[in-house]
Amino acid sequence: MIWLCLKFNNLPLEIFSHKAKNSARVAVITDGKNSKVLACNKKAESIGVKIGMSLPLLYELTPEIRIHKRQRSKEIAKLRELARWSLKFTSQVTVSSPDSLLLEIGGSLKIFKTIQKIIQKIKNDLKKIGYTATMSVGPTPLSAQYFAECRLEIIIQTQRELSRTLGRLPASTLEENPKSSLLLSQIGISSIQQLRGLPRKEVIHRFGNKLLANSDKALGRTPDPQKNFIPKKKFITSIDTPYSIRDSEKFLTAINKPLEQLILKLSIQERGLITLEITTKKHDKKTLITHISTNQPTRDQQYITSLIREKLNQIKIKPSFESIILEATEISNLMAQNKSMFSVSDPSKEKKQTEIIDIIRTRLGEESLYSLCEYQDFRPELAWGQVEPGNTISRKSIDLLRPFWLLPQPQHIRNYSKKLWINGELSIIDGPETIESGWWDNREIKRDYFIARNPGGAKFWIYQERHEPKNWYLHGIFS
Amino acid sequence: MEYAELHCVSNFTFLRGASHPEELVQFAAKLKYESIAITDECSLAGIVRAHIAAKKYQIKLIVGSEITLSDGLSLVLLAKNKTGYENLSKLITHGRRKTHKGQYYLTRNDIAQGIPDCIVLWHPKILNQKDGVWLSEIFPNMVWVSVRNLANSRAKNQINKLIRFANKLSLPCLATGNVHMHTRERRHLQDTVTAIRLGLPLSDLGYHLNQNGEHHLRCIKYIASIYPQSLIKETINVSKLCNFSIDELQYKYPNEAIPNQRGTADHLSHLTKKGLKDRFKKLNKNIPKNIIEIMNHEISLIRELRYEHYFLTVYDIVKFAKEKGILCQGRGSAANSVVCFALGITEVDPTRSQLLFERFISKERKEPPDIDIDFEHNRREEVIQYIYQKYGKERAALTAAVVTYRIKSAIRDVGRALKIKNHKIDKLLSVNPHLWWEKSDTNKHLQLSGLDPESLTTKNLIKIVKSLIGFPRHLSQHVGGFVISQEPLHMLVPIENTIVLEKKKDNKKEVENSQYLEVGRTIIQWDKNDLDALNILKIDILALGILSVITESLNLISQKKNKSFKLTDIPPEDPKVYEMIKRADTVGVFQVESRAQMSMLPRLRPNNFYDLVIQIAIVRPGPIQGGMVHPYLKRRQGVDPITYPSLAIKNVLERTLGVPIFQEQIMQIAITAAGFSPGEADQLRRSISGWRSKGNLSQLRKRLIKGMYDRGYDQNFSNQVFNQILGFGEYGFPESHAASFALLVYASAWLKCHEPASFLVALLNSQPMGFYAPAQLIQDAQRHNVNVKPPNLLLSNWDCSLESNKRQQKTTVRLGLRMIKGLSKSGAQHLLKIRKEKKTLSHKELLIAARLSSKDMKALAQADALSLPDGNRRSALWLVSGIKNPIPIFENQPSEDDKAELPELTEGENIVADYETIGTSLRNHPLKLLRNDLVALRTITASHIKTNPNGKIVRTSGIVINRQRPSSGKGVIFITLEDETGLINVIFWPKIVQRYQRTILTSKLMLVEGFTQKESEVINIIARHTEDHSALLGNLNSKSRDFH
Repeated sequence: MIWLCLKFNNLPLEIFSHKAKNSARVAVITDGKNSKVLACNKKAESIGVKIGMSLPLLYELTPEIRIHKRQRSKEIAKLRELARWSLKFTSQVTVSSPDSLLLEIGGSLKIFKTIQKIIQKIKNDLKKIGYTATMSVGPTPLSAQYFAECRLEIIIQTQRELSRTLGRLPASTLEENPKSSLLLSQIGISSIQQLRGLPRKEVIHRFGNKLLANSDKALGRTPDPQKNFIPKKKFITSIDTPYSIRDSEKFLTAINKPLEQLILKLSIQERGLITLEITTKKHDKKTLITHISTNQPTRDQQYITSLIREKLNQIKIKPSFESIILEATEISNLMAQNKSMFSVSDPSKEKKQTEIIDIIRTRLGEESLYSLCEYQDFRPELAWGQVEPGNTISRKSIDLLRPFWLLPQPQHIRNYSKKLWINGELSIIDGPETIESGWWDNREIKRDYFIARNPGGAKFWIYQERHEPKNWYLHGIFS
Repeated sequence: MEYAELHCVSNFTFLRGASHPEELVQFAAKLKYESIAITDECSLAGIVRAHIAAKKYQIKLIVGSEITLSDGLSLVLLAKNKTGYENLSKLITHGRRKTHKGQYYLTRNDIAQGIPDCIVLWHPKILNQKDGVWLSEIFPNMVWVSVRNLANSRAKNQINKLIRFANKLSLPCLATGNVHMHTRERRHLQDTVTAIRLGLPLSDLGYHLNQNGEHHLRCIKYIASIYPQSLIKETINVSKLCNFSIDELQYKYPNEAIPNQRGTADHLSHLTKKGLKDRFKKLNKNIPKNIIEIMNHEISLIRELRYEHYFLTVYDIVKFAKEKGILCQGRGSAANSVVCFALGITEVDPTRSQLLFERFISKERKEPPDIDIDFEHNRREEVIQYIYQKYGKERAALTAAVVTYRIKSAIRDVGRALKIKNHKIDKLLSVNPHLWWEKSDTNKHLQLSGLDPESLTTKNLIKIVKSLIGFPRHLSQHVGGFVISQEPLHMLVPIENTIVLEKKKDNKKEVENSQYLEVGRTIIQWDKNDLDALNILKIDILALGILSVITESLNLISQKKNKSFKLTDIPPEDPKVYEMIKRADTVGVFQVESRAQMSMLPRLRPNNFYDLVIQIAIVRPGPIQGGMVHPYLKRRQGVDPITYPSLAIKNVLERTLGVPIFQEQIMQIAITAAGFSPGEADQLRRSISGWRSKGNLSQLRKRLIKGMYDRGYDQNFSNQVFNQILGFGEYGFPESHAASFALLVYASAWLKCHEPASFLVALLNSQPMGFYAPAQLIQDAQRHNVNVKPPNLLLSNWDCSLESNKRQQKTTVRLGLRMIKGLSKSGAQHLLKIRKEKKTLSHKELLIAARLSSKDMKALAQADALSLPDGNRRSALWLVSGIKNPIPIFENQPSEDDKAELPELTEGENIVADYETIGTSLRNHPLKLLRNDLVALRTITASHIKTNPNGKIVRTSGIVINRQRPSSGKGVIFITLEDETGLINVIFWPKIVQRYQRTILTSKLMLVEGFTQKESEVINIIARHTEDHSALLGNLNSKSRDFH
């Protein structure tokens, strides 16, 4: 077997590289307190930025630098993406450490002829997508990885070469344990060769088993099975349509089978559908027909079909396509539900409610239906907001006298010879209630609110600006 | 219509109030309020400031406090008279002493017996009749319902409800404003401090904020329009019931120190005379006549001002320290009196420098005497505990220090409240804000940190930070100012705790048991300015590292000589010592070891004790910024003639050759040349020390210049004097302090000169202190032929010690186990105990018997302290890493075949390991090994540089041991380099700093090319080029001490 290790040393930096201009100095810093520089680009390096530098020192050196906090989750996601990408070179890929991949390339030699050619191909392809990696080849997975960790871009194939080259690597490569590394350097053991020269029993007594076990694995003296990378499953089905479909019912009939397959796939994984995309394909060209969303994850085929029907009724289907593709773009675990021991309420009621929400939103658009919630803000116009249907956020509130109906925009009140008029002269019956808030964002208000009544008996919530020209506005109506 | 505001919190209700107490009082006077009550939450910390302002602006001040009980019942208590004040102060103390620093805890039980002579204002949140009945039973006829109209929703409705509720309970009502700020303009700041207090950004605060800006002092006309008239009238009725003034407080000194049979004054006089006699007897001299005269004068002055108790209390504390063998020394204006010399408070011999006593306590100034006492830094706690023990925590407490917002803390907190991202604030603060805040390049700095100067958020940041600077944040403890009183202190001022305890589950229970926290120190709620204003005496109990060093050196010398050797046994005015000082050979010597002092020594060339006094005072920002240094040096060197503008000024300045150097001289010039009274001169001193923050000195300037003009001094001279005064600013150094310090300078210099080994041991054992790291102290001592040996398992103690080698007749310094990084003190002490008990054990047996942790064993091995007969630090480490933590039943016997072939260490590797483990190396200096490389780089050594004349271009190199960027230096950086032959001082001017910033800030081994600047043996190199050669050092872990 021949193992190629790709070590993405610059991954923390490269995941941000699309954001930076070429001329900018960029550094990635560790998260947490006392941040230190973790990686930096060449521009930053050229003015003296070094890995491990503290933040104050970095700023003192160059205030003009773009700084990103390390994003581990993004790095992990990107590495998995790169693993999926590397499947085109071999079927055996392992994610071996937070920033490296191991590829078994012995089997790929038939296609690529030589190891050098594979490496060259990967290097070129990586360059295109904006990533760099140290690449090393060894007869065992760990040896390839150790070479890459030591930034040795070499190809080692024979046992003799392996033993010699590995022996020269620092002993601390064998285990990522600061305590062991420190002790090794303190007793003057710098290479794996030197370590192996010490009495085995005494080494295990002092350092534990791992150092020598890893060395044995790297040398191929003990087996080192690898866990293959398996890409995440996509929930996607399709059907070829040799005949043209114009009618939505016929379309529904056509997707019946692939939908059934999709739901079967979901049920195997115990997942439910949230968003479904339906696309058509002709000569490799995809066209999005529609998508549906549900309020709660579901696998109810009849119900999903009814939602699709609602959507299809609103659009015209162009008949020229060769196949239909269904893809579950958003899925979720089906929620386990608590059921009452003595069934008092009808669970189907709740189900019905969410179904009605889905149908209305499918028919009238996503924005057509929402719930209202209260926010803690003295500014009346910001004291409420729209949230997803069913998500009412109730917060601790204080007793404020507010009208039921608040105007979307306050209306200027006419002022006849210093008298306020709304269908007649207004008389003030309560107030003022002063509200001064929001100076920290761009929506500051400074108002004196009053309750006023007109001759018709209507009660209004009006206010006067506290600043000049002290205009009057109608903001709400009590009755 | 008259109105009194009876509920008003200042910014001493930390992070709630948004105005200084002075602002509130001044504004209330402007609005013509009949009176104003300052009612900070469970605190009287701002009351003295308010009192001073109330006197100035002529408005009646009512003293009160707002408290919230554990069940949420919130009350405002107002003191009717002195008894009421004392009871209020007692209640606050009670609430504060039960819980952590900065908090209080009071329950209904705590007030169930009533608070006599206090008025209660009650603003019920829930209209619960039971509460009303309970309060009126406890405070009969003393409860008022406080009614607020803060323009909230349904305000009028709620007022009517509250009045009806009060009527039902037959309680009177009055109007209050729940004031948090003096004007409406502080609303933004008030919102911001709320955000800081709750740790949330403003946008997330919701209803935690006030609805509007009504919580300010409103004009009476407006108040009259929003409250029923009867409620306003009632405020005046209550105000008239409160007739207490802070001026009524009387501080009484403790009288423990006075024996019953003798009067205070007689006792002091008796002790002084006896002390003086003993002193001169020891000196084998008769008491000079003038000294007796001064003593009599001082005693009569003390008697007149009734300060006897103060001196006797100080005497008592010093006596305790001396009995316990704790070295101490007084300093300060009153300390340098004959009385203090006689009582043993100070060692400054009055015959040696009589002129020092001119600034003794003065009756015109009414300034309380000022005595600071320095104690050995590692034994000060014993003195503090003695004071607590003798007077009890009821009668002795530390003075508070009010910690206020500075630019940095204000930007950080306001930034967080405005939701500005942390890293932007970090970036903004990465450049010292003093360099750009409110200066022309503020916007540039904001932009560089990613803040748009034109954005609303940034504008808000700037605006709010400006008003937040100077706001009190919390109370902390003063460095050592103790207040001790005859009566319980809480009758004078509330006391609180200074410690933060870890939160325990049963904490609440503990608090409810009404137990005071007895751990930690206690502070009063007033700071030193408050005490000064009320003429309350404090005694400064300070810690000084050099005193520990001197004591230990003296002990070591006594042991060595086998007879007692005391501070007084150090011969005075030893020419050898002054020769050493003149050479600036002063690493480790008190005060004169800094770069700045060292470069001055060869120029000033101190010849006697008084020169040292000047040396200490002259190298200070005050004289430097006031431009006094060069004129003084030129006159001293005889280059410039010594002239005086008048005979009167000659008397003042003669001892400093006509150049003002001490703070006292500035005051004396104001008195003699401008006709200031001593009181006014003192006012001048206070004003100049605060002018940077408060500004406005024009009145005093006019007064000074006119005064001098009237007395015949020309305008140029008077302007010059004024500028010198300004330059002195807050940094002027008093002669009285310098004189006491000079004694310690001389003593430590004598020790360094004659007993360098003992002095090194003492310095090492007192670390961390001073300007130099142990490595530099050791290398300096080695250059002075002191033999230093590394830590050794079988020979070292915990501390460094002296080893006498009978053969060589030479003492050797043996480094202690304390030098070893990572070795625990408890582990080492256990090891030493076992070593003492079982003397015959081998290294390995000893290690096993001591049952050290593996961390401790490794630390010892890596430091090469095992000194194995047949091995080095590597084999030692291999050995100890094989000893696992002992198994309780079986003695752990390491296996026989535990020897391994480990690579030998090179000299370089050993040096690197030495630096890593003991911070220095006693082998070769690392640069000695690199000398060939350095020669190849065409660099010369420190000793070679000394032979070069002024203005020569040299190339040199050294390990960076010290970087300094003085804030007054406008970007200049001073770096000290060290090689195997000595130290090299380098100056980098701002232009060079800019060009070589990276090298200057990060190099460990630096190459410098530049001109020599030589003045009286002082050599600096003015750098014009520099290179970083740290790579040559490999892994050497040398550390620079950087000062900003």
